[in-house]
Amino acid sequence: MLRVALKSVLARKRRLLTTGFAIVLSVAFISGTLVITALMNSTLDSLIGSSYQGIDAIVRSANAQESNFGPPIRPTVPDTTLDLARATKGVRVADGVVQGLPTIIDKNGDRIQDLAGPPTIAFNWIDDPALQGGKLAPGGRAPTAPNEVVLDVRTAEEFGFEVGDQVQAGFPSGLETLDIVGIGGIPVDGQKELVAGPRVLLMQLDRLHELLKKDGFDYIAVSAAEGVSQAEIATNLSKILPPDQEVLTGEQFIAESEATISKLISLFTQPILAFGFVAVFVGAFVIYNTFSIVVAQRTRELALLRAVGAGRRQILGSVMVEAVVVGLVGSAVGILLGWGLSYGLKQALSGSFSLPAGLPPLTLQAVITGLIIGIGSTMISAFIPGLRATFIPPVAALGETAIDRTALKTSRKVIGALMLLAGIGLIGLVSAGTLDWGLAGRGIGAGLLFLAITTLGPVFAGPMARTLGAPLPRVRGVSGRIGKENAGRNPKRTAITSVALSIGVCLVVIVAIFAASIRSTVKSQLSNQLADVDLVVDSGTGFAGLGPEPRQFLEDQPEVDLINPIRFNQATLLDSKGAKEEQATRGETDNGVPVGESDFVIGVDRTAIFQIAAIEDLTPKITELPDDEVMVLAKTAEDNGWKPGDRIRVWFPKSGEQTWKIAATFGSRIGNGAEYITNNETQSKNALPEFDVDSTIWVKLNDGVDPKTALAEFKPELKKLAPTAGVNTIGDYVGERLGILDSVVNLIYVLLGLSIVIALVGVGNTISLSIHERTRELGLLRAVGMTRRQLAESVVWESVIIALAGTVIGLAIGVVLGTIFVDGIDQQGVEPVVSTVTVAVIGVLGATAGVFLAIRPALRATRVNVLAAISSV
Amino acid sequence: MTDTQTWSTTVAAAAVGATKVYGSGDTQVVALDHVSAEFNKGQFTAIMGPSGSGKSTLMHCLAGLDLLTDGSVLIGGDDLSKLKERDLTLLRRDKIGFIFQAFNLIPTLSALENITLPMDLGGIKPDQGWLDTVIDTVGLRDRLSHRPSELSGGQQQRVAVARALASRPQIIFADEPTGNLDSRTGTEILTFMRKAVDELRQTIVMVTHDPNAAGYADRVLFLADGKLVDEMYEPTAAKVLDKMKALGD
Repeated sequence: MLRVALKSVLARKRRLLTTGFAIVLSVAFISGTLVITALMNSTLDSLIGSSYQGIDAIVRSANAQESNFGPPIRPTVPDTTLDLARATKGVRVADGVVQGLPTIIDKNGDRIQDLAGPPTIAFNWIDDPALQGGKLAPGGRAPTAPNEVVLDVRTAEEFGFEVGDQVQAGFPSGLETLDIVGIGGIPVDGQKELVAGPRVLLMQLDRLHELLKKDGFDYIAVSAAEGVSQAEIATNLSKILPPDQEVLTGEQFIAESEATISKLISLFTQPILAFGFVAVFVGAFVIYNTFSIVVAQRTRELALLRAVGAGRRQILGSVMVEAVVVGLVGSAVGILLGWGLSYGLKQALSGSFSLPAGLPPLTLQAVITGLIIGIGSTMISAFIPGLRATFIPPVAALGETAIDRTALKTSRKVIGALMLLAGIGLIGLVSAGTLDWGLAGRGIGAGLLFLAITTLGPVFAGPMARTLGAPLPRVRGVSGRIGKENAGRNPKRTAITSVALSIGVCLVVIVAIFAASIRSTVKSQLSNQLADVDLVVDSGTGFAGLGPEPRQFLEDQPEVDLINPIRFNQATLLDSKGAKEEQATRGETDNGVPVGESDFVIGVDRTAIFQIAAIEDLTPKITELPDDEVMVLAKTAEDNGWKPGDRIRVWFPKSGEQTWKIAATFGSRIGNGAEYITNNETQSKNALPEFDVDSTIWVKLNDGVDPKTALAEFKPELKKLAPTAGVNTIGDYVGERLGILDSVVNLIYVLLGLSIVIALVGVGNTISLSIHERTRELGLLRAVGMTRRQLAESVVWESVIIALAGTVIGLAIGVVLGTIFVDGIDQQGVEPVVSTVTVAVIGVLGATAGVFLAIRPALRATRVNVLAAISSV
Repeated sequence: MTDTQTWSTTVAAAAVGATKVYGSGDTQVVALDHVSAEFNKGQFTAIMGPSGSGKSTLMHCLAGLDLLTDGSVLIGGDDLSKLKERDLTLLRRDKIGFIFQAFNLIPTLSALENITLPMDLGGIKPDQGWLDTVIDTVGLRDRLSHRPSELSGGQQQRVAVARALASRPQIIFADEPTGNLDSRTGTEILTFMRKAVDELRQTIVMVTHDPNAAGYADRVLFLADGKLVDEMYEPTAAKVLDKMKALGD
């Protein structure tokens, strides 16, 4: 029986190829992503391990505040802590580390900004080599003067900096010109060259304190004396330290850093993996369809086997053997392809990380995952057709079924209806907020919806094909008629093929609706609210802010009427609904730190904000925002039960607990800002040094001044003062922001394209196999006088109808789901926007795809040997 | 050789020295060996012979479904060997009617649509009067909207006959038309074909191995080993049977 099955597999190699294609693509995607993730993790882990290997313990503040920016925010520990650490028993040497986020300027005067990857970091130079963790390249030395710096080897190589050059860098305190006295890096096991992870500036401690506007140390690094273990030194340290400070062993510190990096990497790679799984889901439909067709075509053969004595389990086994073979081969090819893809991904990422040269190592995880997914999904998809094969009665060996007239069983309709209700219900509940399952919940609901449509599909696949093809007979005669009839003649097959395509189309439509909605909201908010803003100075996508120079410069310009600097900070709300929920589970304090809800706060100019921006529904209509007062988004205030005049408590690592009065509420976010707005003085009081900087400056010019002229005048000066700044008219600024949004959306389209390609292959597959089945019919048509062109045309119409059906279904569901989902992301007050142009374009593309897919099968159909097809011997 | 005048009035189709050879050298198979025959208008001809005699090959070549190695086939004055593939297709559509042993109909089309298929392919509107006559001759008036799967074997063959007649072709070729039918239904079909020749003045060439079927024809051509070996006019089932036995020796 195994032999029979294997022979059957080999006999239909071409069929395997197209089925395998779906598996190859999705497995390649997933295993490639896993390989590159593993590489990034291992590279960064070994970097971390190497640079921290000399550290046996660290001491830092225990007051951690959750941050949307990445790792938790902590205040510094004072100098006295360093003295205490040095005096601890068992400590060989201890030194403090201060770090900040500068922006380096390259030799052309442009800021060095990586799209992905870690930010640039400034550290103080530590003499002890074990604690330092890095090494100087030959020809360099440590910084001994305030304006001296050691630069990392990667930045030096990429941008052509050498010992003796000068380099400019932006700090919270302003712009600095530094002398490069050394190039440094991390010696990693097995690599001859020094390696660098993030971009690094190493400077003298005191000068760094000044530049970062910081005191104390972010953490103290300790090296233990000979024979003293990490655990021992950690215990000794914690005995003498105050309770608001904590000790980590070197191992714990490394583990924590690796975990943070791992999380950041997965933020990037997990969405990509998600697309891979969508591709697997779509692929499953294609595989199911192919195996259904295969079983139908093998009916006589399988019936013969049954007649001759094969048991039902053996029949199922023969189908599953084919599934395993296809899955195995597909996965193997997919893994290899994914490996190659990972190389391409590595090259693309090499700009932001330094990754080892050569092919990334193929991890066991990637191989095993790829095999499981590939073989598993094939077997699962083939199971039901396989099961159906076991029900073929032996007597079928004699007959021939030309059309699938199997009526839809009631059980099928019931199951389909149930899934439909479940899917709709789930989506409804999650959208209404009753169920807090977020994106996953909506995803599952959508998945159920598609399964329901597949199950119920055959019910309306026929009518749909007839509706879509209705104009054909009149317009294209017999070719059209036959094409239309063939599209609907096997409703189950048509349904599954189209649904696979509709999944991809639906996702594209949802993304399109999201993009359009967000885009229009961003545009209108920025344009309407900031209609009076003429110029925008921003600090770009980097982490560092603007120094004081741009603000000072603009304040001095006669053409400038008003400026509104904007600052960001992170606050822990103690009185909000979310805070109360957190406190219910974790208590009022956690490790001495108050428990609450973490959120953004924006700082603005106390008076300029009201003159420069059109704030919607400002209640009451204040014209000045005093210190220690806050404006709250109306909906947020409503959710929390607050009104103007109330006092709320907030906590900051720097300044502790503060009480703010609610000065007013506003209707919608200003320029896409946050829900809480205070003035810049309050902001500065409560912000740690790295946040005590301007992030953006809105500039209003005097009436009659042309923004473009002013821009041309200001820009060169501003760039000299603050090369890290971006300077634009409001129009260009909005355009730039939208441009970034567009790039992300386009990337998503490309990733979705994978699933659509798989689905389209499925359509082509269905058409090909159908042609193969209908050889005699084709022969008859040719004998009776259908020309090749007419025959080819009928195949094209059949394909177009199926592709169009999938596209239309996808469009319909996508529009509905997209609108619901956008309504659900209450976050930015976004209104759903559906563009008729997009819908039309997608529709046309679907139909065109149908045409292209039909070309090969159509040609094959025309080459049917008429004689062989019709002859009766 | 008959002139064109005679052609248009008497002869519907002719094979002149038709030869079909497969392969070459030692493995050469001569399916047709210089067969010449004429088929007159309004005549019902049966072609018979044992298996391998070349009768199917002859019909396929006559019908423009296969190409001769040597010799020529003429249908209504057209030399098939001179026609390009597309013209052959159009010839089959407009001038030839087909009835096969099985699988005659397009499953997705109704009976009526199957009947008018060749004309629909050519974009020609059928002559309603003739169409009605044909439909009534085969007795399918109440079955026109049914799909082939809703028709019995005999009804399907009647549809095939109607299709062959509906486009008023020069000649109708039937390849074992009763092979898949029981004797009663088969007789029915043969009766319709006879009617078509007698009342509607069609020309039919039928390949068969069934002496009963041959008995309905006006003339029987006997093939053996690719050659035309005998001819019989006014055949009866018994005479044909005797002849076949004799040929078999």
